[in-house]
Amino acid sequence: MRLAIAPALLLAASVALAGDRDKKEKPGTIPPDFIHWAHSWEEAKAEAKERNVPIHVAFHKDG
Amino acid sequence: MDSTVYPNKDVIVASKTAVNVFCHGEAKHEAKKKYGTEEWCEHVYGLTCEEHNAIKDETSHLFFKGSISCPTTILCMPDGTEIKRKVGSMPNKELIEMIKEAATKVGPGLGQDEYLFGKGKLKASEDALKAGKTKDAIDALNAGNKTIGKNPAAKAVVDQIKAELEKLNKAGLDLIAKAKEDVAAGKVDEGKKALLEVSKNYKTLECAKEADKEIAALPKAK
Repeated sequence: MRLAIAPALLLAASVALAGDRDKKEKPGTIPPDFIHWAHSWEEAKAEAKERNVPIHVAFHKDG
Repeated sequence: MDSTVYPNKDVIVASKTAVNVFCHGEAKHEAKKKYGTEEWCEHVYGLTCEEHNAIKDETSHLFFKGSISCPTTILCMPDGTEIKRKVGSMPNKELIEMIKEAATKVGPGLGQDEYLFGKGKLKASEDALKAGKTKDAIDALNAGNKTIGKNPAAKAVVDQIKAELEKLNKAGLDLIAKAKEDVAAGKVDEGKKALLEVSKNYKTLECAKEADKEIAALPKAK
């Protein structure tokens, strides 16, 4: 199961490495902080259980 | 909501007291956007379009019979049991209040920052061990324990950290046992070298103290 920390770690790595790539690819602006979204329902339940916190589910568009 | 509510800093703070699941099943979604080396959804930082589509598919039947009203916000217990739902958009304050109520009902819980910190230290320790850096692995675990160890809500993560430290302590004790066998077999230099390694690399663990005792008890060179 992928850890929920993946986006945070990827973001940190992206920021650290952004310098050279900025010139070539113009990556999107990374906000200073953002809502971390779980990668799957099972991952969300496992993390919620481990942290003893609720799950916030946001339905936005149905196909 | 995704362009007005979710980027709001107070909403982001509230979101850290929950696990957040974004369900978006748009078939013709906009192109992915590059964020450094990652390609995520144009609208959802940290998720690909495939992921938020898949999450919608795996959760919609849990909360809807038939058509899905969008937007709908649902707060659940950690096992997925629904606590409360709101159909339609809502202002920042209302979403913050919904999350706060649910967090109070479920909690006390561990904040996302502390959770990510603890999990990050576990991952750092795992990576250090793979690289053969035992001392760095122990340092990472100790740092995690020091920061969140006294938070009762962090028990599940702290228990994992402690279990890893105990595993490393056991590994150090095994090395000491092997070193003692070497010493008993007359291979004093080899045994001493192993004991010094444990003393240095496993510092802060009980096995390091044990190694120090064994070093002090080694036969003196003439």
